[in-house]
Amino acid sequence: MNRTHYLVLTAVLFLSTALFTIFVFIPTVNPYEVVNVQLQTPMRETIEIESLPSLKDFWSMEENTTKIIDAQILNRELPTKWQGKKIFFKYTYIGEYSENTQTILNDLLLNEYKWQKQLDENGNIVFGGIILAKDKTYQLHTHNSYSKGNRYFLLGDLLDNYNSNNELIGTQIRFGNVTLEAKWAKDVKILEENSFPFADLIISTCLERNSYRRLVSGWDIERE
Amino acid sequence: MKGKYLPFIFFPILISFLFLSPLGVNGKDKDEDIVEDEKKVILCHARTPEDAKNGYNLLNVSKKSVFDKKDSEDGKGHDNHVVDIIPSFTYFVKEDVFTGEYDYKDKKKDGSCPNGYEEYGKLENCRKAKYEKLDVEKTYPGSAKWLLEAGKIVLDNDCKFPELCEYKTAAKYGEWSDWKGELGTLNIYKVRTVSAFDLIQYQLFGDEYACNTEDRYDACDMTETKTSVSAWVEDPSNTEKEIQTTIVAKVDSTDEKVICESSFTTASRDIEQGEVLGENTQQGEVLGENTQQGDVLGTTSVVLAKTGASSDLYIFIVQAVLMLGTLVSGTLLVKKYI
Repeated sequence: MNRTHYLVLTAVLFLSTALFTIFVFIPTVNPYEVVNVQLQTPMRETIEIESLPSLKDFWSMEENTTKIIDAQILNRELPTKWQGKKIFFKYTYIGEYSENTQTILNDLLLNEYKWQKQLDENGNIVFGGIILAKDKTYQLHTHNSYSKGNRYFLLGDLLDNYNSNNELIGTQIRFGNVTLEAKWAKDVKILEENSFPFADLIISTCLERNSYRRLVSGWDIERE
Repeated sequence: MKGKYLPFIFFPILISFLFLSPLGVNGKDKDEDIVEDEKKVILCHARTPEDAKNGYNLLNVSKKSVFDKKDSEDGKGHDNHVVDIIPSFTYFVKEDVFTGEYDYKDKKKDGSCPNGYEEYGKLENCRKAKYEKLDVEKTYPGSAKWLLEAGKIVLDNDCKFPELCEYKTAAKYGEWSDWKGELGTLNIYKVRTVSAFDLIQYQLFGDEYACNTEDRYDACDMTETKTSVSAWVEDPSNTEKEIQTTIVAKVDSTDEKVICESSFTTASRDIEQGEVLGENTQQGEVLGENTQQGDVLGTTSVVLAKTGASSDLYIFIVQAVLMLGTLVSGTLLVKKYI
């Protein structure tokens, strides 16, 4: 190999390394990507409580629009690393279940709601998830990093943590102006068992990497 | 965590991007202002004197007036009026929200950052986060009086008080007397006074306005039957079934905390089919309230979504190979020709 060959080889390798680093490596290993959303949640003026209100009476369910609201864990301890941080909840409602729902859902989970997006600039926690409607109930799909909240700040981690301590059922979380309480929780492989009782909101998150095992929990609105 | 990156510390470009991660260390204070909007809230404003003994005025006021001290007659927002009855409502607040972008500047010659900029990572650069004002939804929890049952009743009644003792009373119990009657026979008893006072007067003003008073003898001399029905929950002994417990209790008719006798029954049904397998043997009047949605209406299935945080092992391997290749070829080039 002569000098030209070495020069070309080094240049190609250097360029490849730089491009790979910038466009693949950094976005992938970056543990925290700042959440930046437009906060334009419409205000709900009055709730008519003639019949039992459902989730859509409290949360804006405008299709394909991102919303962000306050969140607070009411009756459970937070992991040590989480303490002192404010918590927000960012979600997108993608409408009724249809044939291409799974594609839309996974695309959002891997991009707009990628698991690295868990903190805002001030270090506050932003739970993220996608909501869809199916069989007259709502499903929220959210990430889990399997660290049970000791390393990252994901809603799935927190639920996994509580479930591991047998504390998930009875957990109350206030999202905006509604309090949800976990009524049931199941650790299932959903290709083998995929039948769940109704709840005001069903939250699903992974329990194993590259597996069909899910933690599925049913949450009901706390009605006074 | 950072130990994983040690093989790559030779490459400043990598390190620079790694430390681009905003960890929320910028402690920029938030500037909060209540946003003026056209929405209003209906509340009960205490007539003078401020203890509301003369009743309330029903007002339809801007939400801002609950907080803002400038617009009210006495210089206080309604939230500062202790006895005002203000329901919970939502409103917007202007807050500085990080835009996701930064201004960048080089460090000064002495190695420090310009005013307002912060050092990050091991780069020679300094940066300053960009913010913009956005509307953030907040919830006003409701005033202290509104959180009471009486407050909600008055607000629902256009800020007027129901007639005394008309709506609801609360019981107040005197001390039990010593045993009376003939010792050694069944004709022996204790007695105490039970008075009922108006709940609204008591909760709003602390006045124990007595509605009636009577003597009561030993507990459980008069009872009421109360039934409470639990929600359907998964059967701990069989995950395919769920159970519902019904408790029937006889309580003292003037002191519900005294349970004279109780029994419970359990019904069971299949979770998937909703079939009632057991028999609900509850009897008596259902006085409690079941706050659940009612019967399980059916079942649903959950979409299989990619909610697992991804594994990055192969990314590390490719990155390591590329960097080592670059390092080796560069070293050979330098040694042979430069």
